[in-house]
Amino acid sequence: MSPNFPNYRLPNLPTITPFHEASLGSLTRYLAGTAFASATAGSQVAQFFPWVVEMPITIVKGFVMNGASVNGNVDVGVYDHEFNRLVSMGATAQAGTTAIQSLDITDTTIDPGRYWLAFLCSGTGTVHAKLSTDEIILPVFPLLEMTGQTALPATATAAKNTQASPIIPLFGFSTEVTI
Amino acid sequence: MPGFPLPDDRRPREVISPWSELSIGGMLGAAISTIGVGTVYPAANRALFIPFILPRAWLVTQAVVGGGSTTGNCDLGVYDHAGNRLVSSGSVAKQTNAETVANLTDTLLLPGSYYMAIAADGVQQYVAVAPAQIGYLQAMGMKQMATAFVLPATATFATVATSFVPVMALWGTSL
Repeated sequence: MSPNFPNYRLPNLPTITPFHEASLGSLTRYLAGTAFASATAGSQVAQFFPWVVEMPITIVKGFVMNGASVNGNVDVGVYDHEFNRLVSMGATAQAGTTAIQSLDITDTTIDPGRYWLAFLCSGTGTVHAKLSTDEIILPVFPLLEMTGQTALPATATAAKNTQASPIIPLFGFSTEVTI
Repeated sequence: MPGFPLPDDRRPREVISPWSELSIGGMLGAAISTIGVGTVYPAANRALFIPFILPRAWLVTQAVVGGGSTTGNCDLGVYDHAGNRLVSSGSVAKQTNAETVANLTDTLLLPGSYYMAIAADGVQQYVAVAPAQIGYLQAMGMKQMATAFVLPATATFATVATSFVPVMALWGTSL
């Protein structure tokens, strides 16, 4: 009998964010501050967070938890492991402070595999996020970015984080229309 | 031996709570750094639904919730992803400053996505945590339903409106 038997696969919770165990999960608990706070994202810096899907999931909504001020556009999306965009909201005016901003996306079924959750803020608006510093985060998990973007591109060229104090924004996707 | 030992989220387990990695534990740990305290229930007859997942079959047998300093009644149960009630305790008397343990009809839950549920008949105190923003709970996938005491056969999920995560758990056995 293979040591891999039985092979339990993880079902999906109704939402996915970088803070779920299928993404960075509990690592963020210890490496990125003590609680969420309103923070400014790197303007025009697309950020990519790993996501492992073990059972098919259909996402129907994107969302971002806006901070105390809004400005410019936000975009959320999912990329495959080779950084090809599978779905994204497209640049959308950031609206509503200190609240979830729900974003309509094309209903998209994601098969088991390795993916990237992507986030972009084009202006100087704030989002709720956990904060850290590059020397703490980077040794533990890859924090990837693509600078100079006003919307999530069809194909991303992700590079190592260059921000001294990167944020991990609270954004994600839902399998349900009601968030 | 690449598949051994099983990662934490595949291990047999006896308890699943909102703090479990199979529930909203990762998000909850990121959102708060405090322990539960006696907190007034958000609204009489409101049901709260907290998502969890099972990678292996699980026999749920009991549910428990931490009680604060007032008396009242609560109902604890399990719903499937679509909002169908699978099992619930029915109305049970809430303990004062102690945990309320409710027996459930032993119910086999197959691998999948579920909600643990609580409803209270008044604004009594329960042990709970309250993340700073309601948006955090919405991002976790929590839901609510008004006029839902006792827990109804079918739930109509609505956006959760009050920051309140009860210290509750389901007890059972992995199969």
